[in-house]
Amino acid sequence: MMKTKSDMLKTLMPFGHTNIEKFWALKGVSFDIYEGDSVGIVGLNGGGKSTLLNIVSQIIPPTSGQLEVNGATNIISVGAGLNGNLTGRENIIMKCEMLGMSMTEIHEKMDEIIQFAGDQVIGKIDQPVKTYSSGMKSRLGFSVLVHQDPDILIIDEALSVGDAPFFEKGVARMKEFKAQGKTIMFVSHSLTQVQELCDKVIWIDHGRVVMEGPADTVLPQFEEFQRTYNKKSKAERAKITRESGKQFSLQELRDANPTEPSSFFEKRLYDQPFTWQTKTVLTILVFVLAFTLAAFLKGIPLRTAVQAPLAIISLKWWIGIAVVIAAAIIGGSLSRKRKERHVLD
Amino acid sequence: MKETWLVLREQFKNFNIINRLAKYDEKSTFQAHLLGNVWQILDPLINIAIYWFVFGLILYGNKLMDGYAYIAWLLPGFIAWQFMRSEILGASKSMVGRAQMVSKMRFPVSTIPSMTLANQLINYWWMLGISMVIMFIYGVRPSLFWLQFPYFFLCMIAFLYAMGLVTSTITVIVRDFHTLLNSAMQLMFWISGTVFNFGGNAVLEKHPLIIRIIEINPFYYVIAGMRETFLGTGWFFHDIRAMIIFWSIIGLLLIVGSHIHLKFRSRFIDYI
Repeated sequence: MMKTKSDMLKTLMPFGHTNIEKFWALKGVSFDIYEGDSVGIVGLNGGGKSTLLNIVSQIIPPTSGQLEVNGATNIISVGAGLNGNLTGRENIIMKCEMLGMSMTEIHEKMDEIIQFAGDQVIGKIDQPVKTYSSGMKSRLGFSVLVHQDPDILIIDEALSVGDAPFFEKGVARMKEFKAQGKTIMFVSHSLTQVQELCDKVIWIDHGRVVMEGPADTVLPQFEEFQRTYNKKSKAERAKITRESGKQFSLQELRDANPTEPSSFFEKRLYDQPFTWQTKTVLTILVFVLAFTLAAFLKGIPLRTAVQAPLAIISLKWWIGIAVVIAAAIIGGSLSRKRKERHVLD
Repeated sequence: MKETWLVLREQFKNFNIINRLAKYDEKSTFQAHLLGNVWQILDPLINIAIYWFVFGLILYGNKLMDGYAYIAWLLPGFIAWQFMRSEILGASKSMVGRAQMVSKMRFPVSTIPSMTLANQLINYWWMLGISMVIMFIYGVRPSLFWLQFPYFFLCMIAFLYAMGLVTSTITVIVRDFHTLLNSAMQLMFWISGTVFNFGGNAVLEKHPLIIRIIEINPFYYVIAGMRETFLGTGWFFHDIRAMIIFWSIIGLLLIVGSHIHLKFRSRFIDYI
């Protein structure tokens, strides 16, 4: 979690782990979804629903753990960006290309996409998108995404953008997907929507799965929880937050699940400092650069320089460079050993 | 190393998409302009005319440079500089500008700086074509030296991509970086050897160290290389030292760049 600009900068430092506060949006979430399932994900705001969907649709990589997705995913969310300077038609082509459609496919589906976006959009399809109303923009974005042909459809509150007629169209389209046997993951705060579309529901709170099961059993309990939550005193709510957030570490999760392979509990490539191979290559490059630079500045030909390296850079300097590199490496590994601070501590 | 490889592979895998999306970029930038894309060529042409007038006619008084008229000497380096400048400034903003568009979809973010590169490259080819005609008029003839062009072109692309990867990531976090870069490019213009011939300067010749320090920067390497290629004044393999310096700088930039880029990518949502 980055609270300030300097925290952001620290996270990019290439050496060692940085000492910024960590926040686990999801803590040891584990579930299976099978082909043809339509799964609703419910929970309070900030519970980790969107993070989960973003991870499943591979927009953000998980910090640790194993994710296996068989098939193409497609996420539909409200904030689907369009380029305001381009016309509606150009935006459709661009979006479709970014999603990996071929030119012939795009032309085939163009009319369908425009029709689906509604009458207001049809009238303005060859005008720049910046002249559209916000509702029209969302509808156009939604329409593009809904005409892809993914195996797994992930919907992040996208059905709440349009007016009532558009909402019905959206639900009809979802049902069509469902009838085709596609897998659907659906996030919504409207429980009636969830009930209408989903057979299975996962209830997530504070990054943990509270309950998982058929919609008929989970939804009433979640509804009950929502109703009582507001009646609880501030202290009680704070207690719930503290309890669910406290003491999460990968090590504990590993101890709690001794049967799972240990690779599930390791941090992934993205979050690691330089590997030692990379460090070695970097070191060599720095040495080569320093050496050649020195020879260049002194105007000594390379062959002479290689034959008498000490004449180019005196021993003192070589040791100096080595010390700086060693200090960087040691500093990096020392900072890694420092304990990770936790946001709720 | 794995990270660098990962980032580079993404570029080649998405080569077609990069090219096509670059075109939409161009359309969107000049959508409100009367002359549209013509500006992308018109703007550097006006620049060339200004520098030719100031340096070629007034300062150097039509003196020959490496045996050619000043305009023929200026062009190969100048168009390379113009391309590098607009690419570096464009790339540093590219990630910020497109963040909204790609934040909610599965898209290889590392290709965004390449998109700016592909976009600017279209202008470069145009400018190269135009300047070749002008150079021909001023007595530059094709020679074997022109065969080095692919090498220096590769140098230029590698340098620009590595720079783009580093600067675009940093700009997302610290917007000031783009402004800083803008000022740095102003300085770089004068010390990259685009408009001055350092070799022919009587004052500088007394201090060879200053020239050597200037010659270290990668901009100089590419610009001087392009000049050697088109004017036929030297081969790239004659200066191994400069080559080693250039490529080790690129290597460092690329490794560090892909590392911070991947770190950035895992926290993409947090930064924007």
